[in-house]
Order: sequence, then C-alpha cells, then structure tokens
Amino acid sequence: MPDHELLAAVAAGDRSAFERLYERFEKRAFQYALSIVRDRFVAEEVLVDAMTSVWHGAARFGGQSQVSTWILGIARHKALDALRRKMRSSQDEPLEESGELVDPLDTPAQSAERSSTSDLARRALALLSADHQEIVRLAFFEELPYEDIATLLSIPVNTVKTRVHYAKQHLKRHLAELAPAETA
Amino acid sequence: MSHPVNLLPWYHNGTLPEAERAEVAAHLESCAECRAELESLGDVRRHVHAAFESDAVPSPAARRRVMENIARASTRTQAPAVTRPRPTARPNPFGEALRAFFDLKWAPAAATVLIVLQAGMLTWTMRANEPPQPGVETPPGGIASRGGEGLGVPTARLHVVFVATATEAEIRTLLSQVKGSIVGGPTAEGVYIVEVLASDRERAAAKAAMLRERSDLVQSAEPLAP
Repeated sequence: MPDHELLAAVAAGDRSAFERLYERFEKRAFQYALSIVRDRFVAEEVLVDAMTSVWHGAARFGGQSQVSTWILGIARHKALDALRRKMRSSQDEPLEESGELVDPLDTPAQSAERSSTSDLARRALALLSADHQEIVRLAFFEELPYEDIATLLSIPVNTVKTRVHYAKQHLKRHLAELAPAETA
Repeated sequence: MSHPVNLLPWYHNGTLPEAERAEVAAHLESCAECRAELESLGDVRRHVHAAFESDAVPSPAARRRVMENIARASTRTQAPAVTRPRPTARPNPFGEALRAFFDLKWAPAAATVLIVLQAGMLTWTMRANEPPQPGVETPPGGIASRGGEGLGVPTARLHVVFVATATEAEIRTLLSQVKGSIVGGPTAEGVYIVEVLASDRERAAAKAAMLRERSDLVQSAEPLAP
C-alpha cells in the first residue's frame, strides 16, 4: 500500500495501518533525528514524540509533499527542539558523535562487518559540515525531490541545488582522500 | 542549455519534474562531461547508503512506547497524547503557566456530552417519521444518522453484512467513501442498516455495488425495498 493511502487509513483511526506506517518510518525518522541530536537516548525520545504526533496529525496532512517528507519534517522539528533543550541543560558537556555509535543489538561480528563495509563512507561524511551531512542524507539517501527538501529545511530551492552540489563535491573529495589510506 | 549539474542529483534519483527531466536527458545525449558526472553520482549514492544503512536502529522499547501512547489516546477519544520529554530543561514558570492555561482537561468530557446530546436529538427527530424496521433492532440511543428524510436530505438505506475480519476502522473508512453511516443493526445474522446519500433507487443500487466491490470487507450489500 502506498504511503499516502496508509496515512489516510491512519487518519481514519486504523491502528494496524499506523503500525505498518511506524515500521516503514521508525528507522528513517530515528536515524535522521540521531544525525541532528547525536544522542541515542534523545533520538529515541524524539522518535516516540514524532510518531505519536504523526498519529494525532495524520488527518491534517495536506498532500503537498511526500509522506516521507512530512514525517521527516516532524522528526526534524522535534529533534531541533530536543537539541536546544539539551544544549541549554548541558552546555559544558560535549555532544556524542553519532558516527561512533554501535548498535547494542549487534553481535561483535555483525558490528565488525558493518564497520568494514561502511567505515570509509562514514568517515568521509563525518568530515562534512552538519548542513552538508543533512542535505546529503535528504538528497542521496532519502532521495527526496528538491522542492520537498526546500520545504523541509525552509530554504529556497536554488539554495538546495547549490548546497547539494557543493556537499557532493566535498564528499567526493573526502572519499578520494581517504580511499588510498584505506587500501594502504 | 548550460551544464545542468545542479539538477543531476534529482535526474539520478528520478524525482525531477518531467519538463526538466526531458531537458536534462537531451543535454546528456551530447555532453560527455555531464554523463561522467551522472555516473559519479551513482558512486556517491552507494557510499551514502553504505554509511547511513549501517546507522544505529531504535530499540523495541521505542515502538512499545509509541503504541502505548496511541492506545491511551484512543481510549480518551483522540485527546492529544502526553509524551513528556526527558526532564533535561530547567523549570520554566512562564511556560508551565501557559501550558496549564491551554491544558483544558474538561474539554474531551464536554465534547463527549455534546456529541451524545446531538446524537440523541437526531435519533428522536428521525424516529418521529420512521416506521420500525422488522427484523432489525436499532438499539435505544444507538448510532444516529446524519438526518435522513426527517431533515430533508435525500438518503437511501442498505442492508449490509461485513466480513468477520473487518475492523471498525476499516468499516468506518469504507462508509466514509460512500458517504454512509450505520443507523441500525446488527441482527442475529449480522445485518446492519447503512444509510447513504442517494437521491433515487438507481444511485442507492450503485452505492451498494461500490460496497460489494470491497469483498475483503463486505459480504453482502443490498438496497432496502421501498
């Protein structure tokens, strides 16, 4: 069932449809939130808060964007709120790096395998600014249309295009610089 | 067209509007530089997916908490769920006062009372002009229609049997699609009376046919004989 049909069923109060929608978006919303707040505990709070809001607000979805854009937008809004609270309450504590997080559900072998296949890309991405990391995620991972990204980030479409262009150039350069060290 | 490098990421992910897609496609046919750039985007995408797909995943506890939130909200007639964030921020007296002002705990109860009163009045209005339906028991104070003939809205009634596995939400969604609502039943055989907006028998038959098309939810649907 397409996302928008699933969301319409959620708007009508169908809890089984909501469970399916949750399964479809929990990982994406959580990881997006984690990329902003860089704290697993806070990212889970954001996920719970955001998906509960999706249940309550499903009837207000106007269809102007993809459902994924709408849900990620809610997660982003909640994550930025959480980040502001976190920074106010612990100004002297450095933020955890999400890139260093290890999934506690992984076995050591799984973790090592995952690390070996993605380490280069993660390290290259970590060298990008936060803005570039975010827009790379939205354009190349979430694969959202440029208009949806502009709506999500509240920036002009032309800014989206140029920011993606420069972020991609930086990422390619970092990948090229890190690759020889990986193979040496 | 100059080199459309700023559009290539969306040409690559297939979300470019058709007019732009066609322009970029035409340009690519004659520009080796842009074709090379497009090819490199595949490599970028592969790396990005490798990195992000290996990110951490939420714990099962998050899912349990979300489902608990919506279950609580459902039992409170869709009142907003209270999902308190971890108390990391300092107390804010102004914020607390503002929240208390808008936190109208009596609002759901008042809304429920109003709905019950309205349903009762509509039922009373309808029954004044309505003969009893043999074989179908309408519970006292049961589900009210949107007014029916009593309020001058052209409606028709159908006998509908839903499949046993149809959920309440699925039935509600389906009935909203045919602009219908349950006004009576079920009988011992599981027959409901559904009132739909329809100005004549032909349209009532069409609505019944629409319901029968959803064989995953509807076992039978027939217009009531006039």
